[in-house]
Amino acid sequence: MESWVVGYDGDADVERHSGATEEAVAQNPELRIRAVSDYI
Amino acid sequence: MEEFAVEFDAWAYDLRPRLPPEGLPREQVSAGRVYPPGYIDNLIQTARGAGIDMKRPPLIPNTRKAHEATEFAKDAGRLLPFHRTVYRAYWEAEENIGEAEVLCRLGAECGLDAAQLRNALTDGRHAERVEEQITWARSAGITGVPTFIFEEKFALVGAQEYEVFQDVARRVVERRGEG
Repeated sequence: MESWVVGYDGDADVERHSGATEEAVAQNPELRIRAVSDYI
Repeated sequence: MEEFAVEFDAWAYDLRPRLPPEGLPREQVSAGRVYPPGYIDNLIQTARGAGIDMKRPPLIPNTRKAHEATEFAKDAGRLLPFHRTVYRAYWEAEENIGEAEVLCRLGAECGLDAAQLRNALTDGRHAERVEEQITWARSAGITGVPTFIFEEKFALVGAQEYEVFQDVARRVVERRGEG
């Protein structure tokens, strides 16, 4: 049996297993922005 | 930002390191400072255009406790609302954000546990983290606020138009993987 069936969570797992999710995240990952500021 | 998922963080800066814990009157801090004609009015108009009813609070508070409270909010997953609330409390409502009780009330408005926040401000558990952030900013050569650091690679200084943020964000994303 394919390992992804363990803990199978519907279509999202299929996508994750096929690499579709990783690809989408890689195309538009979170942009890290740090605001250095003082309140005054 | 609309077209990017943003992981936002806020780090402390100490704009006026010699302020006493109780703060100082603005007129005392600004004594001798001369602004160009219309400078303050322009600032207030610009803020109004961004939906901010900006005042000139008479007290300039020491912000160390506000930064510590910000770290508390960060740990509680309430950074953005707290950050925004503290700014509005100071610049719009002219509140003394140097006072722990004010910070606890603002924190409660943002869903924080006021009693726990009070304890954290009393025992200073976030003080070292705040100090590290301020030290880092100085060592990085940051002299103006706000400074926005994009992915540790690019700094954008001052209040900028939204389009400027968009442009920088696109460039940073395009250059990912270039090392």
